[in-house]
Amino acid sequence: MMSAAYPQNRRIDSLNNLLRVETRDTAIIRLQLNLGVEYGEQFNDSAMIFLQDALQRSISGRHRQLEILTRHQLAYYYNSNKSDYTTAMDLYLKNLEMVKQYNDTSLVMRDMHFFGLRDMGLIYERIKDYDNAQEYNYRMRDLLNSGYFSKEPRYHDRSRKILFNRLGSVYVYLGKLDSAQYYFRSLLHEGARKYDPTMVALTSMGLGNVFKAEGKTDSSAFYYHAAMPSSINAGRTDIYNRILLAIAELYFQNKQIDSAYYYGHAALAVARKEKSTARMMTAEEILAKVYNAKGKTDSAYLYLHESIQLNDSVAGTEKLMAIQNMESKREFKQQQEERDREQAIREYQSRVQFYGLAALLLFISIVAVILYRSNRQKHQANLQIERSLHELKNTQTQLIHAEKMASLGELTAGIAHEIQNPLNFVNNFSELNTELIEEMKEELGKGNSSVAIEIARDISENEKKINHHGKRADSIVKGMLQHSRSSSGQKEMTDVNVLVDECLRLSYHGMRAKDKSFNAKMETHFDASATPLLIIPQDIGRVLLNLFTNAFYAVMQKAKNAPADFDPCVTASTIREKDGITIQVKDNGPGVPQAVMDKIFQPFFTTKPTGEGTGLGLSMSYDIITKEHGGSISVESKEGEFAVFTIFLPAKP
Amino acid sequence: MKILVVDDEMDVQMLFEQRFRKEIRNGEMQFAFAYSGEEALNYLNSHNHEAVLILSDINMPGMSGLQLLQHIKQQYSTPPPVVMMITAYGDADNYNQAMKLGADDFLTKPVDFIELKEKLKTKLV
Repeated sequence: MMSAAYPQNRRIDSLNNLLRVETRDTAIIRLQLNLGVEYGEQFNDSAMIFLQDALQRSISGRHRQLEILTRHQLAYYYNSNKSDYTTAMDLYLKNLEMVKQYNDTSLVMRDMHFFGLRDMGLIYERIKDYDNAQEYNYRMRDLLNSGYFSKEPRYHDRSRKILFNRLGSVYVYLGKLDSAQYYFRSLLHEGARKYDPTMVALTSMGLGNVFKAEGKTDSSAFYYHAAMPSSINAGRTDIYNRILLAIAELYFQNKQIDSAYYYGHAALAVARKEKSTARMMTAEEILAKVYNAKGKTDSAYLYLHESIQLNDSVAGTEKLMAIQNMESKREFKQQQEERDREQAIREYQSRVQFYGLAALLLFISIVAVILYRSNRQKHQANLQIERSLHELKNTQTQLIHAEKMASLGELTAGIAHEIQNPLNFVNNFSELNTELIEEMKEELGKGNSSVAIEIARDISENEKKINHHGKRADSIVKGMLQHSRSSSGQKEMTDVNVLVDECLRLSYHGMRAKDKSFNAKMETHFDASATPLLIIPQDIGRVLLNLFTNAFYAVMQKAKNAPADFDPCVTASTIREKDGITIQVKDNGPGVPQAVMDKIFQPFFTTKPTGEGTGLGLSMSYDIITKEHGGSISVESKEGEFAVFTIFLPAKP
Repeated sequence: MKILVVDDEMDVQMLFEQRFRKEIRNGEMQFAFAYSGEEALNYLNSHNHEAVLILSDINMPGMSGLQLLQHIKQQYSTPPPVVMMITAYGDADNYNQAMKLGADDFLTKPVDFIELKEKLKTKLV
């Protein structure tokens, strides 16, 4: 009677009613599986009875898909409800073996494979064996990289997100914080863009963990607190609970005992409500430490005792060892079976007295084994190389992003100044026009139409100025957006003179905003006959900004020690050629020493003091000009006098 | 009385001429314009220091407003013209340096023309 009030119980009741009258085997299994899930969510041990019965039924009825689905659910139940990792691991391994063996390529089965790997990785993480945990994540990655879900983009996308989050989490434990940060940040941006609160919560928490491991308490607390509302919005009490635990731990580490006390109790309350043994244990451990620090040893003992009791019930040392041995035991069992089979074959052959043939067979099989082994070794070496390559690519992407953000940051202040000037004109001229219109009305009232006409002429002149400066601000904002946007990779017809001029002004004002004492002359020699070129404007813009910033930097360096009559000057020129356009950026700074000339376009080479340059600017410029646009870039210099960079962009790349 | 306005933005001329159109019409004020520090010095040399008040921007390519200020205050001592600085960067560094070099006033962009008019009238009296 009471149960009818709860929708979940109502569902269980109706499932039970259906089960009572159902006679078809597969339908019974499905109902039992559903009941297992429902009871499991309520932490009711009936789940196990239903799931085990469903498993037996599907094995004896040879319903393989149902067998795998049921076993997966059972493994999940042992893992999350019972914290019985040994049994869970055994079930997952069995499933993995079956999925591979039956070669069933349906989506459901591929999912079972993928999630099986994920859950096994999670178990290793829980028992603090992080190398193995990451090994399973790598297996997930290999699966995805092999195009496992390539025909189902939504599945691929979902799996990639799961993978990134898992890689990030385990990298934190392995101390590879940069890698962890990379994965979490890319997910966080994606989650924020797509309004996915679960992803935002998970990745913010991940970033909190990264910063905690780095010892950056403030950043860590910031991300944890940012994660909380998202976890609530997503309805993910489990994530919310983990965040509370993490905050409690963070405050304890930071010796903010009262805050640790508050969050520790909050975490314990949620964990009890959720009936999560693992999280209850963690909360009790933290509270024990907190009470100890407060000098309340009685309470500390109480919590420690509870935690140990829970620990004993779920994860005795032997059980943990057993998991680690399980995989090797399974392999051992397989080898045993194979050996038995070979034995039987050999006995049969001896019985029919084909000794010669048997010897030949043996020889062939040895050769086969040797070939197979060497092939496998090669395959593994290849996997290793692919993995390294993948990591290298990740690092490169990160570096490019950092470089771009750095150059954007330098420019922001300059851009603000560039916009302020035209806006001042817009405001001033529009105020003037308001005054002039009043005057015109007065003059018309007095009948002085000739004066009124003169005023009208002024108004229209001012209007032109307003329009001109409005457009100027508009084009600056557009240019800025273009630079901050990641390159679309699309080539567009672009007026090179306008682009060069814009970049020159931007970097001038960027330098200006960074260093108040900065000053230099700018000269431009634009070839008016230059026709628009098909280029990627964002990328060429980055190259130009980089060259101009370098040039201004160079003349400023020279000005520091030069006599007073030194006139720092940067010159930009464009020259129309038969088959393209040449752009030159010249500065009268200290020049480039001969020794540096050869290295100037190499990655990571910089002459700026540590912290002022990444050393990636020119090498990326080189790639953009030569690889992307089929052009060329070169440098000429006379030490102590000048440096000139020459870019050639072909009209038909 | 003559006022020399120094700014690298060309449209400043039109703006000032309209903002002060009544004063120009009445003959209360006369304006001259220069678009760089160098040009301003040339103007002062060739016009025999007839400008009594100089309004200069600080951020200009080439000679900056502060360098111009230094030149004027060091070289044209009898009588030293009034120099008011105008800048978009109203930061303490710029302000302190301008004051150290002997600037008579320091205004930030966007310029409040009502305030500027008041100041010019009192400075010129």
